Amino acid sequence: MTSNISLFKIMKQHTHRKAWLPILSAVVQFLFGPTLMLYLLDIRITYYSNEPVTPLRVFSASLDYLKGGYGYMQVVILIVGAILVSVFGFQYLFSKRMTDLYQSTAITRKKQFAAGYLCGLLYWLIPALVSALLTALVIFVRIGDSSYFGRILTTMATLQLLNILLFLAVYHLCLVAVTISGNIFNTLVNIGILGLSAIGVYAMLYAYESEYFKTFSELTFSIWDIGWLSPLVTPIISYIAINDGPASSVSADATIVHLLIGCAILMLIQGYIAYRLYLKRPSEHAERGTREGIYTLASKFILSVLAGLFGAWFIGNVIDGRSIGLVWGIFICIVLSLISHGLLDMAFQVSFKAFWGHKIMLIVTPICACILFGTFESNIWKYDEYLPKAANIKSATVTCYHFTDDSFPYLAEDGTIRKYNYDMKMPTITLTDAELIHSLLEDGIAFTKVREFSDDIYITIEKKFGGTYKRSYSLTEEGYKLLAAYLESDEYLHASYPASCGDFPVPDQIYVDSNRFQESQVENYIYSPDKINQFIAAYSADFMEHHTVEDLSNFDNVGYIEFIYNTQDRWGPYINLDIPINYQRTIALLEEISPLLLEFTPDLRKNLQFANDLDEEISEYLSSLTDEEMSEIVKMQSYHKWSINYSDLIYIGETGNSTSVRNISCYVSKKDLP
Amino acid sequence: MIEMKHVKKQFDEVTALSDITANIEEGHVFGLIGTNGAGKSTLLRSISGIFQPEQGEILIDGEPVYDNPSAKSKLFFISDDQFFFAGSTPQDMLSYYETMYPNFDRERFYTLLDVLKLDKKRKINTFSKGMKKQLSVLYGVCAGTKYLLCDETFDGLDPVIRQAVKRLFIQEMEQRNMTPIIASHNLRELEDICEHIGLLHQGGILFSRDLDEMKLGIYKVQYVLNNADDFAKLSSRLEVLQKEARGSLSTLTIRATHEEIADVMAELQPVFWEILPLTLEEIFISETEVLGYDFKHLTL
Repeated sequence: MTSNISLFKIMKQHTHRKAWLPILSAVVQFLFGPTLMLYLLDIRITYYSNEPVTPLRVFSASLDYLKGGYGYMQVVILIVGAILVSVFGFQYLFSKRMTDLYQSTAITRKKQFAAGYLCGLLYWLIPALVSALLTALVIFVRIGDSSYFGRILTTMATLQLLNILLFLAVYHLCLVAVTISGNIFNTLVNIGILGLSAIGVYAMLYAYESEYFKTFSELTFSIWDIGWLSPLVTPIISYIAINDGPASSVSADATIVHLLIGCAILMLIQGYIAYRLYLKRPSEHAERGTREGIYTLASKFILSVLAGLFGAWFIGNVIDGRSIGLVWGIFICIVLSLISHGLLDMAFQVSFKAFWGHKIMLIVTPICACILFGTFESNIWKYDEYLPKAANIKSATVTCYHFTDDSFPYLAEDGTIRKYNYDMKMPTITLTDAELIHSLLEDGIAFTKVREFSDDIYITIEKKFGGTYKRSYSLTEEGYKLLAAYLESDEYLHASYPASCGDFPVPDQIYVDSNRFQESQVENYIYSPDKINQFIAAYSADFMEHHTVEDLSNFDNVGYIEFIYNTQDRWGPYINLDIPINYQRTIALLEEISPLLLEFTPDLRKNLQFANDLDEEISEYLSSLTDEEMSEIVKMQSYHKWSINYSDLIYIGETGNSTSVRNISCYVSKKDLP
Repeated sequence: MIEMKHVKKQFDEVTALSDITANIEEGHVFGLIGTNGAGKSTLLRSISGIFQPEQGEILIDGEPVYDNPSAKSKLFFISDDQFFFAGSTPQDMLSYYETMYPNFDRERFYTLLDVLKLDKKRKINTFSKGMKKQLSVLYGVCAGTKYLLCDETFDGLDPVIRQAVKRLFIQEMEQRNMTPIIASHNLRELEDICEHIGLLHQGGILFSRDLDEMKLGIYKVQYVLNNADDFAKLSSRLEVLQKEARGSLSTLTIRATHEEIADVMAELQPVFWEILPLTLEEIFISETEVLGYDFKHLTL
């Protein structure tokens, strides 16, 4: 007598008992799929704008929603869904009675795993696919133009493939947690540990890097690089990347592909581990905690050390925004790592007594946390101060974030206008003068000691006898002057300031704004191609005239100008440029649009008021000024007001009544006094 | 035949089964008795393929049982607290067992359900403990497997149902040579039905033999001796497992043949002696007492 119970029959039985899972999945996916899309297209699309709802507009909004609100909802559903189907699909592993029933039957463990696995996958997948199809139909009906259907279907199919990969990543992670756990509580704890630890390590490294390694180069690795290591976070990161992250740029594809390849590899590895662990899982493990082994040992150690280190950093920064100090830091490291280790042991062994279960590790873990904290706090690495001798420097590659446009559009090969990423288009300066490099490093190191952050330039140093290292520094004005020959060259300016130089496709419209405009009296949007071209020409001429290091370091702006492209992507390309105070051509164009908000005229002197706490010396000085001098101060200070929110010290009202004072304030500090 | 060869099962630091070697012949009722924590349930779960022994092997008709559908299809395990799906009825569970046991006899199940007056549409969680036990037995019997492993199955059954279940087992044995393997503390119940007994103690098997043969080897003798010193002579000739005395009347449990006892008594010429029937419980107590499992002097 041999048993040959088909996989289909086992799955049918499984579904019969867990019918609530696919039903819940179907209901939720229907509500947050086609229903949500219908709501978005019917209500939200007309909420912010009275423009007519054209097929193009519905199509554009649909694409936005698919990647935005709808997409994020799918992320939540797939994460929660993967947890539910794995935990409840394999729930029998958590009960001795259920294990007796399931594992005494004539079914191999392979088949049992396959049945549970496939059921879990299908409970999510079938409703997801049906829901996606219905959503596409909803969009199609709302657009009412069949020419868009192909693109909607393609987008939907791409997103579904992405969702399947992300679901499998979370699902496999959860299955690993299920197979090593003896109850639901432990499963959830292990899902959290396996799903979030990498992000936790990243957060800790980031915190310590910003606290103790001020010159650490962030280019080394970022959340986009390691996001796939935390499958619970990967779906969210992926959608952020698609919507708001580097996905909006030319580096998008590379970033997403990198993220998804990592995610796929980890998914396959975790799937295989879950399968092997299931086959080897002792039935008697039901109703226990987590199987003791390398995993529990490693996770307790790593998380406890992390808790100690992170706690010491966090408490210090919350209390007074700086390092907590060696003694207090060590005290917090000991307390938090000890408590974390004990709590994890309690959770893993489902016993309060287990807090003290591993006494040696309870001693070793806090000691390790303290040693690590001590190495950071006592600065034994001397990371920020590292300065090789000039004789040992071969070359350096410098990237100046400080001297670049934030972003700018370009005409892609497919005819669409796309946006370069901030960090992808930055030109680099190659230096081979060892003395110059040494001086640059000296300046950066010196400035780092007085500045809170060091991220204006990134520098990669190649040493003569092999090896490279990376740092980020801020430079003093003198430091930048060392680079002036490079920074002020035409080649660098065009490479680094393509927007300021006017090297970009003509936009569909521009938007200008300045505090110098009369409120509510200016049409900020300009659609006239002639006017747009005038602004581009004026701005680039101003820029080329004022391109010295000193000019480029000047932040006194009177307003800003935004170049806008009518693309389907809500977060699509645009240019946003500040208008420095000395850009006369551009300011002249601004003044054509609107007069200045307020000029100081002699008849306003009677309305001059000083703030109560204004320094007496300044009051006297201001009172002694002539009308012309006062006018100049008001004019200049009104520029400042736009970019810097100084507290009001002088009020100049038209009526002298403080309640009807015009929105002008001036700031004069003692150092401004002649 | 079920063969156990040097089976060892450990739960962390606790050794539940230690070097168990025994055979269970088919077509007989095998009773598994043992002290509390002796490893009876663990042994049944190991035979069912639920637990994987750390050492040794368990063969069902020559095939290893662990993760082997061919061997496991010959077994049905009724645990001491059988699981039924939440909110399920006997009919719902039938669907599950029919899938898992292709030879499940649906007609017989419904017939027996009627006989035992169990409502097939009533939710099982509203059943009493005894009714759930009855239901478990019905699933086990109707599954059509060659071996039926029962863990404390008679606990919670009323005397009438116990007899009915015993008859059911006998009927199945006659009709299709089913082999029930019953672990129980209720030795009186086993005595009625079991032909072969395995005694487990502290994870090891003390013996495994026919009940009749076992009874032939151990006797309870009641006697009144003429001379108190005669007991010394008696105990030097026979292996005394247990002794009780009430006045001049003594009762001994002795491991010996009938002839050996008769010879000694003939020599000692007591005032009175007779051989009393020995129950399985008395055999159990005698055997385990020898190993120090003795709580007679325990004061509570």
